[in-house]
Amino acid sequence: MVQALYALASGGVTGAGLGSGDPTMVPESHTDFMFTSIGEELGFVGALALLLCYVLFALRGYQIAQRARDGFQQLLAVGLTTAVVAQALIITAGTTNLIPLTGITLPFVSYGGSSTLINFAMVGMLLRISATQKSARVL
Amino acid sequence: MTPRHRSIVAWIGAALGLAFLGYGLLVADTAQWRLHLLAGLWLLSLLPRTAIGQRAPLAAHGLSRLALVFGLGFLAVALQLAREQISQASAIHERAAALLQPATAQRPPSGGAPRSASLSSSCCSTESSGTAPRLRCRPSTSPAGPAAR
Repeated sequence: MVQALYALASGGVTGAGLGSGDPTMVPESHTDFMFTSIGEELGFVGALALLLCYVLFALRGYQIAQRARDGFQQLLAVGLTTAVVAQALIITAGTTNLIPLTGITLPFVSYGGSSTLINFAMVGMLLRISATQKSARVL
Repeated sequence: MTPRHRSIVAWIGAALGLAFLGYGLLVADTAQWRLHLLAGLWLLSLLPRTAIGQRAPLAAHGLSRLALVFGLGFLAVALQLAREQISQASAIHERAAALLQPATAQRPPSGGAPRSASLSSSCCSTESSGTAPRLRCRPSTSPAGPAAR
């Protein structure tokens, strides 16, 4: 954790540059501390951009849930969105020392085949719910 | 309390929350910063909570509040990042470097004398060509090794 904080603090506003970070300084930089690596290499601006992407994902997911036609689709959309966003929030807050750290991946970013596969499957289900709304509007 | 009064209180709370968060970013003590962060976020949340209560339809209240919780969570992470990377970066850098210094001082120098006693049997192989068996070692692929993790 100290190494991660050291790396984050060296990142600054704009970071060290892509590929210019110190991979020996950040432990587990490809999985748990992926966000720290991004903060080190892309700085505060890059990390903030990634956080904005997750906020955008949450807003769109809840918008899909709000427009869902029946209760099942609404609950499914809320659950899928919350699962992805809560995971992202827990790991980003953990790596920045805001809450205790736990070993989970950063959705869509961290290394890990099964995690990425499941996350994209969730997005696929969300898009299916969204497509059902669109086709209902056209009819 | 009328809706107008609620709006006024919410706006005052939001202004106070921004002031709390702005001042908290400059505080060096971590415990005080967390107190500022919690209080500031709660005060800042008064405004969207009032807006949700007054404007959003009743069916959308739950979803809007859930989105607000996650929005505030990501705002907290962004503020923590701003503190660690901008406002208190040098102080955190110095403290972390001081904590890391004993660990790096204990590390053996790289490229020095061969350390046959500390090497595991998996990376070494004995070669029996000649009179006495020689120890042949291959270097580790990662410079830090598993101890860094």
